Amino acid sequence: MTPPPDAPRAPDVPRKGHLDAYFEKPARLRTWSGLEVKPVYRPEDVTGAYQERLGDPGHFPYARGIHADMYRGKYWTRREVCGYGGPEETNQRMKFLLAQGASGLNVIFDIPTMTGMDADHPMVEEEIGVQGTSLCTIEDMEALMEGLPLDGISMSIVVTSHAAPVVLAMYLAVARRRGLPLDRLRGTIQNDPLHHRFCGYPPAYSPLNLGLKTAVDCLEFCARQMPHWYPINVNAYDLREEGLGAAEEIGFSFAMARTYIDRALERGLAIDELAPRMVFYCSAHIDLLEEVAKFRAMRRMWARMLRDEYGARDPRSWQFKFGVHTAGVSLVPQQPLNNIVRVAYEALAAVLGGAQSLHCCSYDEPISLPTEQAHQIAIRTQQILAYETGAGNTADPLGGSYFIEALTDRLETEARAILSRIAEQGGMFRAIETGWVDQELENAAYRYQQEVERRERLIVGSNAFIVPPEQDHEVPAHPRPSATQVRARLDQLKRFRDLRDAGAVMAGLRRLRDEAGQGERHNLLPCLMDVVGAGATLGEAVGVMREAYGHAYDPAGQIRSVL
Amino acid sequence: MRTTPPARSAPSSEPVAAIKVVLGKVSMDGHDRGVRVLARLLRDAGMEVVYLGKFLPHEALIEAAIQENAQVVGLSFLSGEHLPHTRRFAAALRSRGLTDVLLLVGGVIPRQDIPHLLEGGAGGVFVTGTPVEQVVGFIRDWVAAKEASG
Repeated sequence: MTPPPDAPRAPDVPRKGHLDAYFEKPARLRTWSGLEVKPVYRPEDVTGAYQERLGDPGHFPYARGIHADMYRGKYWTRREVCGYGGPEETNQRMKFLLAQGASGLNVIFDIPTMTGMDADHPMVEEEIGVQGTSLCTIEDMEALMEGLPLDGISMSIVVTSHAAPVVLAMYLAVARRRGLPLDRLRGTIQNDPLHHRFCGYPPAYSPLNLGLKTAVDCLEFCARQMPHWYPINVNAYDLREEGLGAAEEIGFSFAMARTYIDRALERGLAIDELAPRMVFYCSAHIDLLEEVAKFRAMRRMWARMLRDEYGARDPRSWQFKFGVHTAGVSLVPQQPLNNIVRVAYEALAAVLGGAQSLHCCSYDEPISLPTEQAHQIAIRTQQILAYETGAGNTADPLGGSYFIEALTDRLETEARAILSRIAEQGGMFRAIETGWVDQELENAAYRYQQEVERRERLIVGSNAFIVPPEQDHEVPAHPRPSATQVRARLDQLKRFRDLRDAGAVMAGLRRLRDEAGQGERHNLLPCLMDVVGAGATLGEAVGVMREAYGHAYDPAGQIRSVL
Repeated sequence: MRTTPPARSAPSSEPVAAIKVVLGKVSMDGHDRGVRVLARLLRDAGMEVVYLGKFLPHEALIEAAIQENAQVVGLSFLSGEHLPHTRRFAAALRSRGLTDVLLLVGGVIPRQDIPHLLEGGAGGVFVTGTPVEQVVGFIRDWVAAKEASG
């Protein structure tokens, strides 16, 4: 903020003189999540035989990594979340990122798109292209992917809600137009409707009965036809951003994954058909060692859960695969260049923890969408890690550390207790419906901030070592879309609507509504590909599916059904 | 930054009516960790706080401010919608005659935008990472100054 000169300013770290600083000791002897840390860890802090507890990398229970050779076989995928204004602008930035050495793409959409509403919805004008790219039609998807080889790139698509199958269908329809077989496409779609709901969308905007149905549709379709595509990316990251600790990140996200697995099994998929297609999207928060232990605990718990509870027999089902997003919430806008350092530690945790893919936050994350330079620094952070530090040269380099092993065990114990508490309530779906999850998130965030206010938790630049705003570095911010850009975007959509074959669109949408009424087991992906290919918009396809699942066509109640 | 010159808070020995605050999110952005935590911490500081939720029409928040006779209204943003929404909201406040309400804006906001928000009608802007005690102090000073000026 810019406090007025006479506003009460937070007192800084109290010091009487320079020797206070010289003799200073750490005051907080806990992990960032709050677990107590002992002065030293010794052999007796770690129990259990090596093979059973850890195993070699590439072997059950995979605590040390899912591949025997880890990064010697393939670096983690270096991709940066990207989405601005309209598809053309985002396309340009994605090409910039590739030119800077990104090894995969990761596209994010604006709020209307994420929620399945078109840009010309009367409520959304101020949101168009603000949080990510706007995307309404197959023409938009073609513009987004212009000049990018769909069969020669790894694409991660961030849409979580019941809009995910429609966006995926647009991507697949573009591939079909280009004559590419779907089994050559490589990528991920987040497709995690439970996350969409707990992460802030009111029930009208996030109908979970539809979201869970279409989530399993994507899972089933991709599991059977697209061997290089991951159709569910369970979002553990946002749980952490909401304020939960490391063990809770594991417990809550595994409970979400169990919901998807159970639904897919009910649909008739085999566990070894679906489990290898599931991936996770985790946070790397600021406590380096705790995060490394967390990733190791997640791998071991997943392997045991899939083998022992779900009876999976294919080793690929046991392998916990995850991408990492460094913790946006750990970054502050005060002295913003310090965020480059925070992100570097968090990225190191991801690599020491064996991540398959990494997004480094740009240092301006708490300020605006990334500027080009901020994006470039984020990519360079990954490259310095990959090519200079040597952190990826051997698998699980911290394995065998008494502390890391004890912390891995401790996080697993805590996470199991959380999983049990959620199971007692009837699973994650119920726990969200009753409001319990929401309350847990709020309480965690409240406790965290209380510790910040009391300075038990110090954040450099925010509540310690502060400088007055007028002396702080001012960094550039990516501007929101201009009124001209928004108007151009709306004109583009209007032109698309005017030029399409209205009869074919209506016939397609009627077919979609009929097919959506044919029950849970009827997979909507093939129909969706046809319908968006014929020119139906995202909002229309989502609206029609909403109707079939007992919801208003428009969550805001402002536009009438096209049918 | 301020709309009126500040004065220090009333001495704690005097019984003071709780300051009434109405908070909400008016855009379609669902990120509400910050505003929910702020609501609880302002309550802990003795204020009477209503957090109305998210996806709110501007009118709903203004109606609540009138019903509650609120001295402070706070808007929270994360995803970049702060400028148009704040301008529109401040104009609506004025058109309803709520000229003596402090409008606070908080969240992920570039520093470059702060003067525009203040010109647009915000009485104070607090970016993420600001300790809540600064927000508490700002509100108390504003209310005390308003009361002192009659």
